[in-house]
Amino acid sequence: MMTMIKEHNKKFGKAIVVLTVSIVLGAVFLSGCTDQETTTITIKGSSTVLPIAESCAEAFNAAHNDIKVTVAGGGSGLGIKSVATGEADIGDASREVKQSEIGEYGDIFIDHKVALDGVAVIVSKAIYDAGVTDITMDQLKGIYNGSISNWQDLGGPDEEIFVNEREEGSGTRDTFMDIVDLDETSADKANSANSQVKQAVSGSDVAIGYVGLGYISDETPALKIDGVYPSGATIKDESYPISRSLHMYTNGEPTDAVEEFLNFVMGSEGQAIVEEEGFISIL
Amino acid sequence: MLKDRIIQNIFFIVAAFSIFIIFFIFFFLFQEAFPAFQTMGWDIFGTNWNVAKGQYGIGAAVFGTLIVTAGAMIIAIPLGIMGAIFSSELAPLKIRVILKPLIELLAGIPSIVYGFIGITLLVGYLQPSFDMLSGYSLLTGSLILGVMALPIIVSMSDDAMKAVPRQLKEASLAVGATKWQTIKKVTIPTSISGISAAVILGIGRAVGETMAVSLVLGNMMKIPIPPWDMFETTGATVTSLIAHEMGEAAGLQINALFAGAVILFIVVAIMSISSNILQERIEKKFRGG
Repeated sequence: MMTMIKEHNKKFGKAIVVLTVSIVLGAVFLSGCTDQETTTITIKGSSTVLPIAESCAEAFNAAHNDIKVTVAGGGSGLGIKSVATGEADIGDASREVKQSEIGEYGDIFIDHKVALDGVAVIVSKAIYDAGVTDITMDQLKGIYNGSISNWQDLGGPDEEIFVNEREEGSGTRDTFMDIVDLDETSADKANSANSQVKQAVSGSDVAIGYVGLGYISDETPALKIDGVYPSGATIKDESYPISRSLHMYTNGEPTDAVEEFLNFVMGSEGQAIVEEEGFISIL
Repeated sequence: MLKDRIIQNIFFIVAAFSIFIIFFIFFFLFQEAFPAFQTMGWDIFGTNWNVAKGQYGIGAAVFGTLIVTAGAMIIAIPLGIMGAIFSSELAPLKIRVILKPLIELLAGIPSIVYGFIGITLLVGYLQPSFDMLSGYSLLTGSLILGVMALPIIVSMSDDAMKAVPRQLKEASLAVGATKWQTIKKVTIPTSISGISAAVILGIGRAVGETMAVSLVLGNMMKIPIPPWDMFETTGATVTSLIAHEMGEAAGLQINALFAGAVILFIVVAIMSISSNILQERIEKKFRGG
């Protein structure tokens, strides 16, 4: 019996030794693998720009052996902060750099516009079918600041409006609030993604919300704003009011490798990816 | 033996590591939350949450957590204790054998599944039923949390009642007490600390639950008017606030979210420790007697 336990212990001890050795060797091996020749470009920032940055990085990396692009999210604020402090080579933002950020980090940011994006105002299908297909900027502001709370004021049914917005800190929310000229809202529900807004609006008969253009659907039809329907064409010619540019910021003039990547994104190949991801090309 | 001691030490290191992780999380949370407490002072418990204006009062979320948890407990405590009485005292052996594992299975369902069911079934059902503006509400959150806390309360209360010595129950029955009188006067009073431990742990689960709840709430940082109006589409919990805003948060907003996490950590730690103390008390009582 004793010897059996002893045997067992021996085997167990051996197993631990083997495990430790293999972990150490593995770590050494992996760290030895890093190629010193490649230039790494780090991108951080807005979750809106993230899909563009990721898909472009993937295509770009496949075509380049000497440059490797890595992408992370974290929000527009983080992107701008990271590029200012040198943590990232490119900072993605779905808004322009704020005066407060220039005050904090200095006037070091160089803007590269990589895409256009619109914010569409969607309503429940029942509301659209009841004849509310157009809205003015004033009415939109009224709905979100609480002075309009019934669909009757827009020629719709006598129903309370279920107002959906995005969460604090969202780039889409910043754009919407900024252009519609709101400080705070009296919305009913905050959603942390475009898809959540779409779900809340499509699941209700009395809802309104705002989303990226890609989230317009038959169940969540978009309203014309001041007579203009949100589309690639109306956003490009700036007749649709709620639109924004998506930015990639660099700290001063970009290095050669960074410039090569930015040229790729802003070129025809990158802009095709931009359209594929549901945004509007700058070309 | 040397080998024994080596192995003992390895296990000690592993155990110490998990304790180290707890302390690391604790200090990290406090360190990250500190700037928020420092800048906001007592206003951090206020009800103004407006990132654009730099106001980070998490009061509305703390209130939301309280009321959602209270609502969940109104559902889970009576149902849970009644369920436990049935499964430990009344159910025939055949049913008991199936019932307990099934209830415990309920505890193993991932919270996102509860949330998914909530958003597809409950949200759509509650809105027309109560003529609400939408089905997203503190009430919906309470209902889901109540169901999620139920298996913990049933299962642990059941264990506590089963731990009551048979002699006590038999003595009661022998002097002519009915089954119900025995349950009321003997079983429940003797196992009350175990039942309390179960309830506290259930509350802890409700307070800390994130995924299911953040899907079915309105998530606006506002206290409903009047505050007990659980049908209104408004209100967030501390967990749903963190889950919603951490993705795009920057600067002091991050610190304020960490402050929410610190409050959660403290509340859940107190719950968990007091639940442990109560359980030890019940064990001592029967071992000693």
